[in-house]
Amino acid sequence: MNRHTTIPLIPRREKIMTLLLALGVGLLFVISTLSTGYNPLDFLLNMENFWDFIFQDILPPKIADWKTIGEGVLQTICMAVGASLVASVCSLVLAFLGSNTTAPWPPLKKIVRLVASVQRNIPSMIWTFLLIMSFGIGNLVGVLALLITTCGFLIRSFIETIDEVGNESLEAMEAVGAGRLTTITQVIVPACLPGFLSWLLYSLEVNIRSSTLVGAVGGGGIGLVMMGYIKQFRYHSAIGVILLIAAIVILVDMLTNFLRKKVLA
Amino acid sequence: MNSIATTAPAKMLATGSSQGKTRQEDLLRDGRGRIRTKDPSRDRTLHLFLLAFAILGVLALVGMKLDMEQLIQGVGEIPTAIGKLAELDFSQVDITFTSLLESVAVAILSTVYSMLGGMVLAVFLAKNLTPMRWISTLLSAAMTFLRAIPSIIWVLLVLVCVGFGPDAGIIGICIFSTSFFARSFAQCFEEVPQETLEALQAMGAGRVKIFFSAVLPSALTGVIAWTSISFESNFEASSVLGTVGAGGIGYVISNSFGRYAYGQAIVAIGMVLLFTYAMEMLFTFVKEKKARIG
Repeated sequence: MNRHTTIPLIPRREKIMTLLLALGVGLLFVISTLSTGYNPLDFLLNMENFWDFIFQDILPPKIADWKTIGEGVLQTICMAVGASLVASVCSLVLAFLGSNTTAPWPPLKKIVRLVASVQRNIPSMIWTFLLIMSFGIGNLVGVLALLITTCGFLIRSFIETIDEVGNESLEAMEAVGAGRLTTITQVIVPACLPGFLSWLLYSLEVNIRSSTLVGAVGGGGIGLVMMGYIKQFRYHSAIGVILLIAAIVILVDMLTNFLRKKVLA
Repeated sequence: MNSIATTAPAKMLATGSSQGKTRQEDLLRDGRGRIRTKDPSRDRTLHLFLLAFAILGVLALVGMKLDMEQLIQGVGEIPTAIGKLAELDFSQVDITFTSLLESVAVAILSTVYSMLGGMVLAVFLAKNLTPMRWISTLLSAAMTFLRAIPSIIWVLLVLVCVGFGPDAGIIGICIFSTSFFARSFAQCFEEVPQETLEALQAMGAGRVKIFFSAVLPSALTGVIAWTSISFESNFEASSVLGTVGAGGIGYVISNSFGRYAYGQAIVAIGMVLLFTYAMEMLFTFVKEKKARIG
């Protein structure tokens, strides 16, 4: 068999692209390794330190104070759910102002997208620092920080969902003389609702995770409790709280997965 | 997406046709004789869920006992805060830039290491590739646990036993990210059709050969997409891990806030913002280009 008759398994162009990509990543990897001086073997060779830490300092986990921890957990969950609700309402309105198909005024579209981009590209923990400047420490800051990042994320996702609505149905509505508001309520909302809900559930999952982190830097809730234990070197109690957080995250993931199957079937 | 409103009645028609003409009429027209555009049973669960979510959300907001006075006062303070932030201070910009590079390096290293680790684990995790079913089940449980704890908390734990420096950040993020990669890669691998695998098996190809010549190429798009997502979230983690005591740009930010040097903090935050924004643009560009080729 000569060369001309073999059909390449992978298209040449794709092969070259992939190779270039791999080379680029390899280069970045080498530069980063040199600049940080990180050697993965260091950690693997010093594992006994690590095992000592796990089996002496951490295990067994201990829940020191059920009342404080229980309140913290409740606060954290409330922060996540409340922020998701307010964020979803805000971003629904803003998404209609920012989408290509429904935007009433093109410059506004650009502004909405820019704001959303700033909101989601600054991590929620940094938002917490910024908000502490004017609001002081407390769960209010936590909710606001989550609200800001969730809004940024949901606006983009909602805009994408709205933009996916087929042009045919929009044209059909236009042809029968429907106004903008009728089009939104009769075509776009029903068609986008499953997509919206799917993103909403996802944001709920993300918020449960980040509400503990936001808490750790001053947003209240279980994160603050955990950070306190770590700072006091009470690792047994800290790991108890961390395992509790893991359990909550797993439970919420299971719940959202169940809802996805049930509601979006 | 617009098909939902139109296909739902059609689907009901198909199932209803066996039950006689009256049922068909019922589904086509509502009580007032108007043509239906929605599937009432599907809408009911959706509305129920929305209602439940709204009630829970309001309860959560009320139950938190948010301090309204604090909120109003804080809103009043926002202009002052912006005024403080607006006094940009570029005196520390070189240190800030070096620490941004450190954060980027940590994100790159943790993404690469965890991608390699995740790839290996995914082979054992994917139900169609794993040599033994029980390994897959066991791994899946372990991965779920590792993924449930946010990467910053892992960094905090590793920090205690490794000490300060980029190592703690890389290892901590890796723990989370590896399990994330393992799960998502396994999903990509499971999408490879069983027929392809069987055909290659019938030709006498070994497991390793099947993986590299069939599974990996067909899952490549997914692998790249997941890697870019993971890199974004790893950078987010590495940019904030300084706020809990490790290095990188997060340390500069929290340190500036601690010293009330708001002008320096906002410069550092601006750098983080610019970098993440550039990444987002780049990945969107690659995604669109990829979509045009494929």
